[in-house]
Amino acid sequence: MTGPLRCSQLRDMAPDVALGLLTGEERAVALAHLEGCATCRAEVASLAGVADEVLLTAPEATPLEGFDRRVLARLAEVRAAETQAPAPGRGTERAEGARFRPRHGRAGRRGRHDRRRLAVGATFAAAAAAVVLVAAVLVNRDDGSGPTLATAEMTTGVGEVVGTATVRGGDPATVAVDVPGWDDIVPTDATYWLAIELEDGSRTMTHIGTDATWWEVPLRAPADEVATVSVLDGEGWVWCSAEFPA
Amino acid sequence: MWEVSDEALFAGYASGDPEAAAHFVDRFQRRVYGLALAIVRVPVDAEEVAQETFVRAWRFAASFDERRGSVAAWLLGITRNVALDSVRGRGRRPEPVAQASPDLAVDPLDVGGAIERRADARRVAELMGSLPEPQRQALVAVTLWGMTTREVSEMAGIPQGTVKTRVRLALRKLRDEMGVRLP
Repeated sequence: MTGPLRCSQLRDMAPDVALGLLTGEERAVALAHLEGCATCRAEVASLAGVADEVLLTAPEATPLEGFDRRVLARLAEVRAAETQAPAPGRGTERAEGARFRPRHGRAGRRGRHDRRRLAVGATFAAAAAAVVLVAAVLVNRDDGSGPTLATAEMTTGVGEVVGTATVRGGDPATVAVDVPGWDDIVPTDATYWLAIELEDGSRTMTHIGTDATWWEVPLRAPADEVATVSVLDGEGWVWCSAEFPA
Repeated sequence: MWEVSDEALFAGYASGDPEAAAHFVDRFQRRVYGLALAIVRVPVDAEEVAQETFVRAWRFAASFDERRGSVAAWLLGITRNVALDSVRGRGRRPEPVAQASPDLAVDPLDVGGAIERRADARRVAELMGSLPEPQRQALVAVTLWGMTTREVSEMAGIPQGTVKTRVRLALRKLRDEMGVRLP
């Protein structure tokens, strides 16, 4: 497709534009036309409204337990970050009585410069026992993993080193995390996540078990974009994390 | 107290009221997560999509215009966009799970009987039921299941152009039936 579109051509494509089905040059040409044509913009907007109505018939599903708490915690962080104000106290303190306390606040999308370390007297203790290598979350450790590109210590809120995080090259690149003794200190019925945050603030989370001390997950981005690797509990509290310099 | 309309509840959510936010998330989380799961098909990714949806809904609350649609439709539109971004970012996605099969022979409108519980969905489902079957199936595949027309084409064994035509006809016919006016 070359050259600017006529309105009649855009009208033909309007449903595809409204549904986001166009890619590449087609999309660019369509958007260029819409920028200067209020009539066609209105056509696309009305069709997009219909498409949204269709979504009302989507199936429902129940998210993992604690989803609402995690959303609200993330919202609180986003609001605090965008208003340049300190995060509200509500929801940022963990109930007493837990066997171990996390190293710092709830995980969220923060810029690297804004990552605070709220030392809260973590008592996370690394076990002296040798690391037990277990089945990886998504990658087998003995499958010819790529070369080590960077390694950082996994630390608690008081700076205690409890493990390591390693970024490996390959296709795909991976992040491997060793936390010796992890399986000794966490309750077996709890939910934990391995969070990988990239330089752009985006984050992927992988569910990890409580019967292992080592995990390796594939990256969905270039290896040099990894900013932070953290282990979180089901409520979004960070138990330990490692940071990789930009 | 919280038997308020979706729009009123959203206004509280947009203002940052914590109690309203809790009820808003509670009211919509199953629908948002359900659509996210239907498109990305991986629970962990669906959770991320659903979380991001609620964040964007707060961040872009000012762009919601109730004259152009309901809060639920607007929120699910955000969900679909975030989910499609997630799928495209990965380049591929796993095969559909049994409960979320986009098999065109299956009618996803019956999933969980949820539609019966939602008045807004009942009306749209009735209108969709009046579409010719091939058009309705194509529209469902690209909207609720987030499939590309190419994926639908390969799955149904029909030309991609035919899929596009069916989707276009279905969308325009629905608009006529809904009486949607140009803004």
